[in-house]
Amino acid sequence: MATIDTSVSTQPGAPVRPFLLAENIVKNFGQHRAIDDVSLSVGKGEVISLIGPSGAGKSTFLRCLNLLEIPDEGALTLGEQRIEFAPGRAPGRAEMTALRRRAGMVFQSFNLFPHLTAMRNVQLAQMRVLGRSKDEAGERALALLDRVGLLAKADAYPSQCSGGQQQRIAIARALAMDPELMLFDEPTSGLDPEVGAEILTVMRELADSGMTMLVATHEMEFARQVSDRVIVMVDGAIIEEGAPDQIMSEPGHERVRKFLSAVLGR
Amino acid sequence: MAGALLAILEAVGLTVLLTVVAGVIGVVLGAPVMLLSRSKSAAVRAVYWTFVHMVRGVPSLVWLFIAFFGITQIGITLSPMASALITLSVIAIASMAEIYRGGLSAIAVGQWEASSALGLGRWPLFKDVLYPQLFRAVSPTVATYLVGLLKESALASTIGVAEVTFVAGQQTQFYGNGLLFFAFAGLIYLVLSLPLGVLSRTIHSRLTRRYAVL
Amino acid sequence: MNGFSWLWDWVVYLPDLLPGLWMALFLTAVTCVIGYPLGFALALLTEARNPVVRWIAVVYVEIGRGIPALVLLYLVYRGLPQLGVLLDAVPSALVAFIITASAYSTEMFRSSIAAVPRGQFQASDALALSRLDTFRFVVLPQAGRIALPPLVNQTITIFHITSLASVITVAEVMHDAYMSGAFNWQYMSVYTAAAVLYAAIAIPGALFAGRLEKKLSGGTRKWSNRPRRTLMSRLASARSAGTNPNPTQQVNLSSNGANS
Repeated sequence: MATIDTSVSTQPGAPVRPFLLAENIVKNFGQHRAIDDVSLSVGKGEVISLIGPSGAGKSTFLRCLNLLEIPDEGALTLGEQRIEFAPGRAPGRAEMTALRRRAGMVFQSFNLFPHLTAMRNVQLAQMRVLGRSKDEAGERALALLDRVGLLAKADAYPSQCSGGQQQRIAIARALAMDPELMLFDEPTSGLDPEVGAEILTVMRELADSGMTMLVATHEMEFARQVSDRVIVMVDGAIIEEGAPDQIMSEPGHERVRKFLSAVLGR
Repeated sequence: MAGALLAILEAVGLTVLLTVVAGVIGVVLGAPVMLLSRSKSAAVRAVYWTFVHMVRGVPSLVWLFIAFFGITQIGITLSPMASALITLSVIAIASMAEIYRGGLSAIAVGQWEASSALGLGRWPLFKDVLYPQLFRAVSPTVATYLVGLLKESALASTIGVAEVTFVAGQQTQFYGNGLLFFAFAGLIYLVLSLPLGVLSRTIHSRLTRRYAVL
Repeated sequence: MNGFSWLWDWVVYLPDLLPGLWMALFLTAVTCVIGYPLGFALALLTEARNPVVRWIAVVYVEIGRGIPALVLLYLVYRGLPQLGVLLDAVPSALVAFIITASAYSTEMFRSSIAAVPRGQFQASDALALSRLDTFRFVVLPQAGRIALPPLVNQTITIFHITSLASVITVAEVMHDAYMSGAFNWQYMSVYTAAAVLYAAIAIPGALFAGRLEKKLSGGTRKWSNRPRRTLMSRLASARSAGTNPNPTQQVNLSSNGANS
């Protein structure tokens, strides 16, 4: 059973000093407004689940947080770093790099480097971005592969690993950068349920260790048991947020009720 | 000088003729030849592979010289134009057959299965399901190939067909100034290849609208 | 007239053509060794941010691809002397072939880089890898694999194209064949011998490229959990990109990409 860090407020916007603060984020794709004025404040160590129907903008919002998508409007604060957005003005490369190396990301499709072994996948950015020596990066890679239960696969190529194994390697790869924040973009959606459970176990352990996490997910049990707060997105906007039990058992919004009854089958 | 350029320009007719005749023959006859590759008989498939690999494994210039100089040894004489047309057409048939074969294998196997599950006959299956997709899949490649064929028609100059490259060489012999004449010839090929590009894009956008499944 | 002697007596002429074959292989090797790196550099330049650089690269590629190799050959050998550039036959042939080879391989390198899945770039970005590192460590190794089979086919095409050098007196296979034929009046036999020589190298090469492609594409399928992009979907996305100004940039279905 997950331990929930009770020191973090479950009230929206309540943390005194937010660790991550997204203010009035807007992202357009041509005429389509994918993210519509979304604000979110996350405390250090907080675990947040983003739920909502497909196409609601969960993934896009996560990608705005590490600048894989550059928001058109709004501002982003991570620790001491603050970036403001305006249409047609992209942040500088150095600014983006500084933010990205502090925010790890795990993708639905793993996106491991197919031409590198598991070990090299985890080593590469450590050496090139953090400037660690090969030995140092290798040691860290082995420790992390061990942590996700894949020490034996260190010299295997992604093609020689199952989907679940690949996703665990991807998690190790992100963790190797010592991120302060982890973004999970539907990490189990491409996997069989039993395999997804492996991934959720790893994520649960990560949450227990105090990592700040934002998880876009369809796994309601994970959202309920592990997260401190659940956020419901529909049509690019947050329509409801609160403690998991509160959202799941007494949703306020009609659309949330519909969505939940669809995914929970009740 | 202007007269020389005009002479080169007048040779465009033969260049276009070579390209169009060989192109049409390739596009039309390439399809039945491709069907040989799907034959149930291993012998027929072997004939297909031998034909395609022999034709494409040997430089076009060699085939051209065989069809012009070579056949004199066995007592046949063809005009340069006839030799060029036959050579380019045979090469076009082999190349188009391979393009069609590639296009057909790109169409999902599921399409065959779905159609036979619906009880479609072989002809409706080909006409309504496969052909539109095949046409759509290969049309950009065909356009690319026809541009290649246009350029290959320049080889005919080596056996004396008075097309663009030949006349450019002829004028260079008379007047010198090969820089201008061959650059002009090159420009003609570039300009001639433009309509093919436009054509393929038009076919494409029309097809995409008509069969907008993607 | 000894009707069918050409069916077997071509063997006699093979030795006559061997010096020419070495010349053809030499031309092919030099053309590829210089032309492919040049094509790779051009592929990068066609994506340059500076519009002038980009424009120059695109024009070079369009000219190299749009003008027949034979015309380029004449342009160099019979045109450049007017500008005071007097090259011997072999260097002329090399210059013309290198232009052709670099222009064709530019497209190949470009489409290979474009074929690296988007997720690879996103993962690199998310890991804060620099542009250069992403290119060196992530894109290049994968694009290289994708480019390998077409590169083999391209090399066969270049080998075929070297037959053109005979028209400017370079002593390669076709030149030797012509000389031999003129001497013996046995054109069918000598050109059959030439065809056999070319085919003996080109056909195994094409089969090798085909196997390589099958093997490597089997690999890419395992590389990601996404359904493998079929040719159809690639054509579709090339089309939906809409900005493609050149239909020849689309995926080439035939195994032999370029034409002389």
